[in-house]
Amino acid sequence: MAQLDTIIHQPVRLRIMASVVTLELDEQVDFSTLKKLLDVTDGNLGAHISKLEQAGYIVLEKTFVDKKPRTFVKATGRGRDAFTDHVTALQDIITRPEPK
Amino acid sequence: MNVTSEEAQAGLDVIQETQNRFKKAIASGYTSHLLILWGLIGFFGFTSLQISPYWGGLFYACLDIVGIILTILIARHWPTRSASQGDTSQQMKRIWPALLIYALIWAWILKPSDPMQACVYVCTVCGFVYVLIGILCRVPFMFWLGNIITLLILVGYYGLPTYFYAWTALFGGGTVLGTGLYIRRWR
Repeated sequence: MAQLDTIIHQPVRLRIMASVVTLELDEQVDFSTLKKLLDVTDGNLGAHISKLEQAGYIVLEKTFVDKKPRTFVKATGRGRDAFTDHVTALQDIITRPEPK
Repeated sequence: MNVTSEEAQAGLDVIQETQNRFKKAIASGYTSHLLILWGLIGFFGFTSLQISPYWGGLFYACLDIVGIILTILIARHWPTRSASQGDTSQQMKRIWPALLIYALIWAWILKPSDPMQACVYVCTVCGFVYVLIGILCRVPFMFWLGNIITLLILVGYYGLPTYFYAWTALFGGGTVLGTGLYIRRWR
């Protein structure tokens, strides 16, 4: 039976993972775009992304475009698997029979 | 971790809503900027052709050069990219062979031999590019936009040849511009 992932279960991190797993396997999303879409501050997003990176669920790539720094975020295979297991665990909770 | 079924359902709802918003926003990305840019270029370009085919053609060529430069600048700030391809999308590379085949077959059928036919040819090929982007990049509105533009161009060419340029300015450029303004709200 799939288990809930305590790292992913946090509301902001759940939304981060929900977003990045929709991309193609080698596709990355810009940090600023993610921030706007999730409606969080730089610091808030940065802290949660750092946590997910430490867990090995996402990777960051920092680059320069027109001499301005840009950070791209991508889900790892491990992160995709962990997210899938977490979703399965949530679905299992809904479908399990209520205790009498 | 104890999670009730209501909390689990709320979590799944958040995931669904987040993914829907994310996909829409990424699909529109800076596409809205490009559609607004080329919609304006199409509108003013074809309007100038209707007024004066010679000077309008020169004006339109200048607008196209400006459009290409701005398109390159916009593309450098795209919100997503393929890690293995740098800033170039895998899906976009698959467009070229299909586009080449379409362009050759359509040129053989249409046989553009005057400026108006050349306009029809270029506009319908652009429409096909939108259709391909819609299919390969899974962006439904681009698929429909491409088909609608192609249909409107052909209606204008065969139905209103005297006012073809004005028709294309309004319904070709205008449709592209309107779509860009509409999807801008998704960001």
